[in-house]
Amino acid sequence: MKEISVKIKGVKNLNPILEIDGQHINIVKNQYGNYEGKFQTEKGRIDVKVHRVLEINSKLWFLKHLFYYIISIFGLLDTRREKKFIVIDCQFQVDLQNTDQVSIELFAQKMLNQGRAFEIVSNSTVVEHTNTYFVDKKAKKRNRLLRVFKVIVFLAVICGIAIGFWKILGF
Amino acid sequence: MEEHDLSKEELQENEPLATEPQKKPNPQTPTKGVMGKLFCAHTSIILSNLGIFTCILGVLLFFTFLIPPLYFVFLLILTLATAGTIFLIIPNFGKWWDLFPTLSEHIGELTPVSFWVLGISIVSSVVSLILILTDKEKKNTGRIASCIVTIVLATIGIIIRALNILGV
Repeated sequence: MKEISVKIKGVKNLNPILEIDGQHINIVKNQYGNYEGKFQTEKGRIDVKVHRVLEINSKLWFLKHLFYYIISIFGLLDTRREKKFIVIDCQFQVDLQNTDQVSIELFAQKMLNQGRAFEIVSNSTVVEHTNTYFVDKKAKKRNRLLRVFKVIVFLAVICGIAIGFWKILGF
Repeated sequence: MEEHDLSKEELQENEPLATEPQKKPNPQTPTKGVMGKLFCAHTSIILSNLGIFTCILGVLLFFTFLIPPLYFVFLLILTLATAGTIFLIIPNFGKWWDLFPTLSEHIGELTPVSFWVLGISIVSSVVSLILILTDKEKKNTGRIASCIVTIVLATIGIIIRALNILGV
């Protein structure tokens, strides 16, 4: 059985997703803010995919965000929102034929607009297929739409409360 | 460089022949369940925050009976400290005293609300705790601890309130 350990460094707030041979691997954030994951296989070669999905690009994204907005009392109790909308697409193949213990380390580059996502370091042979990051414009557009919607709802609620008070106080 | 190229060839040798042109996978299409996990993680954080917020609100509502006496003490201190001249400085100061019975009446109506607010706190904290525990990727020790503390505090508050209603 061959053991593969993957370490992703420098992506503190990006929550990357690790997949090996199409299988989702649980990665845990360590005390330094780096992600670590382990995988065992009998195969001589594996396909590794490190990517990032934005919730705003999912199905029913509007309903989901509406749900978050309502249960968080109009965004008051919500978590910190996504601002950069960076999408990572890193896919590579690792040869496992010569070693039983394979370590793969991915060092994130400074992510601004688009470019190379990771510097991959391994004790085995790595063949990169894709290794890029880019800012998702579609997600940004959707976020803008959501912000407008939230402002309208917030104003509507404030007006509703004001009218309610107006009627209760009998003005 | 040569070594890198050779190993690339070796890899290609082992690769099965492609019967059809391979599509480039879209990075935005995650494996099954990833979106669900993201949804659960986000919901659990909001519910945990809601639990803490409603617990604080419930506890504060619990102590609203203290507001009328505190208001009375505040007015009394103002009057004594200014040796009564406050009535001259603020001509409407007499009306401030008139507010006291109205305030007591309305505050009394607020106290039973704490029962429901603490109930919301317990429900949201329990749901949040379940969702956090199902998430194996993140170590949410802080969130788990805060949820447990919230549940305990809210339960104690509800028990006290229930005993109050029953007149024990």
